[in-house]
Amino acid sequence: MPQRIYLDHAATGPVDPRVFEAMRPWLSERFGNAAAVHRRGQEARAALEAARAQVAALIGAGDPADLIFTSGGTEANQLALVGLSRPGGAVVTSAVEHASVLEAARALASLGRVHRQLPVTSLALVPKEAVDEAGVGPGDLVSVMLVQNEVGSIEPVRAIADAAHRRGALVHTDAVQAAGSWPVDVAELGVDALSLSAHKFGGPQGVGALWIRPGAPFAPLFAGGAHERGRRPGTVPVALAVGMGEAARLARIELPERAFRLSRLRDRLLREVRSRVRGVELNGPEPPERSPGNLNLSFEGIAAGILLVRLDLEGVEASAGAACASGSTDVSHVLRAMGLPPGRAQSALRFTVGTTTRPRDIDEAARRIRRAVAGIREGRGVAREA
Amino acid sequence: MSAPRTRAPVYLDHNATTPVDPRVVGAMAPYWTERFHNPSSPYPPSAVVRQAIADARAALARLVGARPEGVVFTGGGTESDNWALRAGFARGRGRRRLVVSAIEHPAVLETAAALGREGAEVVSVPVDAHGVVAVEALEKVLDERVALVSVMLASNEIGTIQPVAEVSRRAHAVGALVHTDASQAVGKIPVDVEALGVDLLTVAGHKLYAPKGVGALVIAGDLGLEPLLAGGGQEGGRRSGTENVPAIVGLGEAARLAGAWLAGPGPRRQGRLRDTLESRLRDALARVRVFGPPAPRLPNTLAIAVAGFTGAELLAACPEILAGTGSACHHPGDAGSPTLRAMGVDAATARGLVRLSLGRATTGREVGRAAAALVAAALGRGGTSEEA
Repeated sequence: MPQRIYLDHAATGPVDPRVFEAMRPWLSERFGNAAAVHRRGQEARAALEAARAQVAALIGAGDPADLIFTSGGTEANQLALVGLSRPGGAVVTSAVEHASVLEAARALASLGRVHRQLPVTSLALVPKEAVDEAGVGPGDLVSVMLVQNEVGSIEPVRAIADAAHRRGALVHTDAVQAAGSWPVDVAELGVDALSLSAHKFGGPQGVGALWIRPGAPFAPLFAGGAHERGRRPGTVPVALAVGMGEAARLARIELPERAFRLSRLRDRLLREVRSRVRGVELNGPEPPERSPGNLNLSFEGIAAGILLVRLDLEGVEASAGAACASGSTDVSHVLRAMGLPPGRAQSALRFTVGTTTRPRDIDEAARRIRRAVAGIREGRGVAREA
Repeated sequence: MSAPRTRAPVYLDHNATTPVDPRVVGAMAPYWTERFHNPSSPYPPSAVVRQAIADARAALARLVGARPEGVVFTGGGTESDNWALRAGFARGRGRRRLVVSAIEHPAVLETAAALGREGAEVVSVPVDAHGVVAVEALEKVLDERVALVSVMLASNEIGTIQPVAEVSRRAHAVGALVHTDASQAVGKIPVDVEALGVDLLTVAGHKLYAPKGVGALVIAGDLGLEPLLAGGGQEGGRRSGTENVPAIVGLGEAARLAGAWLAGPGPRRQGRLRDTLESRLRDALARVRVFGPPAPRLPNTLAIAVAGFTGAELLAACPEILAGTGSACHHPGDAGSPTLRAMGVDAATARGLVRLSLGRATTGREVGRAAAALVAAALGRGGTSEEA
């Protein structure tokens, strides 16, 4: 059985061993409730605040108190959309946002708010003039992600934020796919709120964060206690927060090296696949104008689902889009919004490298991709070749 | 204080949070490292992760007598309570009344208050002098206007067990849904969704030796609740967001351990230790008040006040004990413990609440040390028989 090659780091990745070591004591020996007044509570609170400062440092947030821990990226996005939109205002998202943003916007629409979508180019980029053309106005909330999760495009968040602010709107960005491999700085982005998810950058699942610009009019979604300054009640998972803090610290220190390494691996995979397989097209922007770890490739004449099965037999783990949509056989909303021809959209697979990917994995993956594609094109059955 | 400083303090705040059981840590660990895969992904390692989630779901379902498909994992008890109240109330459609007990956790009371600001008619049902919901008073506010009744299974502050089965019978008679926040009960006493007759039940992982950051809402029937978190459609579309796999696995293991503990001698032994602590304090301190009895209580919880001391003062005088002055989520200010106030206790006494909550690992020795420390602290302030 050949070793399996994991090329789905955008879905999730293993917890960095250093992060695991940092978290572990906070599960057992140092298990206090950070809201308790006694020593165990105090030490938990101190650890929680240190973690908050580390996450704040990753995104250039001046005051860690502006950052609230959540149960993950989905909750952070939900809190942002519900908490920053207003009854009279519209919720304006790009057409290629993650499902958690789009579903939150739809839920708000069902409560009577207007949901408008900004179109994207064939590279999944929101045009800079889209905010003006959409007639964004005072009281609206604009939400555009920093790094697109399926095709790796880097959205012009700064330009969108400036345009939206000129029109009196608030701006949120989902930076879940960016943190850890792309620079994230709230001041440079000029946004009012920003979402993070720890398990996308070496931290544990079940924890994320929402940064809210001081003074932004935020209304909490949950009720029940003064945790997180009343903005997100519930006992804070100290161990998970400590893990996110350590992951953030490592991501900040190692960012240039990681981004360089990931883009080299990604470029190598693209080169190897292109040289071995004909009829391959890259969806989304050409490197370097895309997220360092992301490739999205279409294989002419091959249905993505069939190729995924073949790749699985070859021991290559990839995806046909966002993990949460992997049960679906429909073309993703992202590829549709890009206006790709149906055949190309239906044959698109996402390959994402991560910190545990090695150069030799890339060469081997390219060989296996070639075999899988050739097998399908030559009409051989799915049964494994000798 | 005379206690040697080298000894570890006695942790008697298990109602605030519990340590993760080492066996739970062991069960979780592989899911942070080699079994890290996203359960929604299409390749075989993700199927292994999905199976682990299914096993955890079945284990928790078994612990609370529910169907596995009725267990939805959440980010914790507060999220479960928020979801239960909002979605449960919304399901009442034309019904505008929401009934809660006066001693609910802030996660329930504040969500109810938020719904009140959005147009719900929120009715608070009083408790008797022992901290038990007055069923007759509940009966008076129950009619066809009631969408949802939420009564906790065990009080977080004083541990009294509420007549939830009776509440369910009466609420169902008028067609209302019933939610119980069982955060403090699950793992400490047997909990059975069917016997309780509730529609919705909240579980908080970190109260039963599972990690913080995971909980569940147990849904008894086919209610079709609107999700609170929408997005990728995880948990059958009922709770979106990448599953917190290690924590879910941990909650499943904690549920197995809780089932085994409840079936063994642990609860009786714990009850005896609590009773020992209680009688040592009663014997030595004439001015101690114990809240709850003769109402049934959790076997681990002892709620006391010593006249002349606020809870914070008493605990400050015995640093050898780590305990709480009520809910960790709700530091009582001048008004004192909201639970005691609802029981008709005066504000001065209610400010004196000290909640001592034992854990499964609490020893007789620790209880002895705690009793001695509390007695010494209480006597240190002028006598046993007169008000300060």
